[in-house]
Amino acid sequence: MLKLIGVRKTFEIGTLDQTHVLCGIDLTIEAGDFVSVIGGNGAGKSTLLNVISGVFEPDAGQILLGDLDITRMPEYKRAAFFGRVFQDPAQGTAADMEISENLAMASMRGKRRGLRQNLKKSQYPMFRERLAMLDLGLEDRLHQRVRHLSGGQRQALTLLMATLVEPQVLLLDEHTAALDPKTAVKVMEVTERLVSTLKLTTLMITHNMQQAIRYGNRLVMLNAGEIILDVRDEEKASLTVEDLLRQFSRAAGDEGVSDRLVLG
Amino acid sequence: MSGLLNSIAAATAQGLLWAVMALGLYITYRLLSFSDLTVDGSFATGGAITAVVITSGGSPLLAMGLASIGGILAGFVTGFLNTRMRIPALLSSILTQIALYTINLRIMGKPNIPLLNQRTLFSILQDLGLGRVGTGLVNGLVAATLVVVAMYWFFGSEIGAAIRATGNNPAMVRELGANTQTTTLIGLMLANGLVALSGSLVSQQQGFADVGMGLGAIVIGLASIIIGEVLLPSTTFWMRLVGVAAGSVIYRIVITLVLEIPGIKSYDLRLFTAIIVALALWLPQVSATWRQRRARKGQDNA
Repeated sequence: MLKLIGVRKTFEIGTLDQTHVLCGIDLTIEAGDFVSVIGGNGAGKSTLLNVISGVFEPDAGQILLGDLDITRMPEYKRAAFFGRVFQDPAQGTAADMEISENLAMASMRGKRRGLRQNLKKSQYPMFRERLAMLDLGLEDRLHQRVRHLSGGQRQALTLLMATLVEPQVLLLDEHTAALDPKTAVKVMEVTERLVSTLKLTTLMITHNMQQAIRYGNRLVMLNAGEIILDVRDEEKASLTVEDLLRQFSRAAGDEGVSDRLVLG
Repeated sequence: MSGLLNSIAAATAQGLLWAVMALGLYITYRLLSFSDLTVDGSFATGGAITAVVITSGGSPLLAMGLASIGGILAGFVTGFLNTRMRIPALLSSILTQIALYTINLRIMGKPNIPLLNQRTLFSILQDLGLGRVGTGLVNGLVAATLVVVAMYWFFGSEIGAAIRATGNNPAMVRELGANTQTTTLIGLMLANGLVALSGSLVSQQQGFADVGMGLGAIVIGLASIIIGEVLLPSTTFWMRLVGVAAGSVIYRIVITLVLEIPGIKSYDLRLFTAIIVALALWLPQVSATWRQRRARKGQDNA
């Protein structure tokens, strides 16, 4: 359903700082997949997500969603297909607006906005029902400004906003990395509940190996802008942290070897 | 004493007419977080268009309509420079402001057009028997109320909510599928439309349009917004809009009282306003440091 073909992205082309972040990514995500993408710092995880969601255009390659080529489509137009949750809890919500106003805006995802009132009372029961799924008591705080919520609450709300209009693919960009461990677990529980209830196709970026192993039916490992591991279902289920570490060091080791070769 | 009361009433009327400008500035400064200096130019554009329309026999309402359109165009230019040509907000608006100086002179053909003995929104009411101050109060109250109601309605709409969210969190707005270039553009156009409308009202009330009449408008608008926020630290959007209008009135009353002090000349006012705004902008920082210090002390004692 989501298909990346030979996607490349280089930053600062033609300068001394030129860095290759994605070096020809081929990846096909099937409907219903929950893919965990793991990799070290600078592996290109976030860039991968940003290229899919349209924050950056790739230098080469193609991105297909179903039959639609979205490679050059601007970010705000792709919003109709993707729901996104960022690492920073402040990035997904408007702090000075009420929970209800944020949800109302999310209910317009990808639709044409007009002069109808943003807050529609008829939506309140649906908002309350969804907020109740979070199990954080937010359903009774519809008119509170988001500024007064904790990081975990804001992230849970962002998840709700990303899935209020069912996205074709839910994109999670290390969405628990900035939270304390306890809250992170709670937000992951909410994530799994939403993904399984709504049967969402999901791409989750993480640098937490435990998380990558525990959640999802497929695991993709990125290193230096290339996919070095792609396992699914039973094979994925039997993975251990040691397996992943071995893969990591093998990849890093190869690099070490090639560095030595270059240095002669 | 009645002299002072009279001048406070006159100040209130002036404050209400200028409140329309402050409410426009509120859109850019607070809702969009866009430092828009176009205001100084578009305010005078409103006056310039009004003077030309009225002296050529047009009705006051037509003059106000065209003045607003002039302001909307000015806002569009700033928005275009910023969103399409990627020039930073402050610089885009300064460029438009400078350009408007020429354009305003071109519109008027001279630096100053008197509107004495012309049919204005004010002369019409005065002919009905309302005094000069009464006319100002009625017009100001009607204008400010209409603008507050219209803004409340518009910024509660789907587009309006997206504009408010753009100032809060543009990444989120794009993520939800709204074009932040468009929301910024609409916000700037509406803001400067209101600023020009205010310029139109003020020129009719004072009986002339002058190419320099917008000089310092931005600072007066900021002062109004901040005074409103300090005196009415309210959370509802209604009260925040009312606060801006009230801030504009209080600003004018304070200015009137300051002018009563012997030795103060009217040309001292800009310095006075600048100092007030600087102090008011500083205030949140000071109170934050204070709170921190107190919290630290509390910990030490515990």
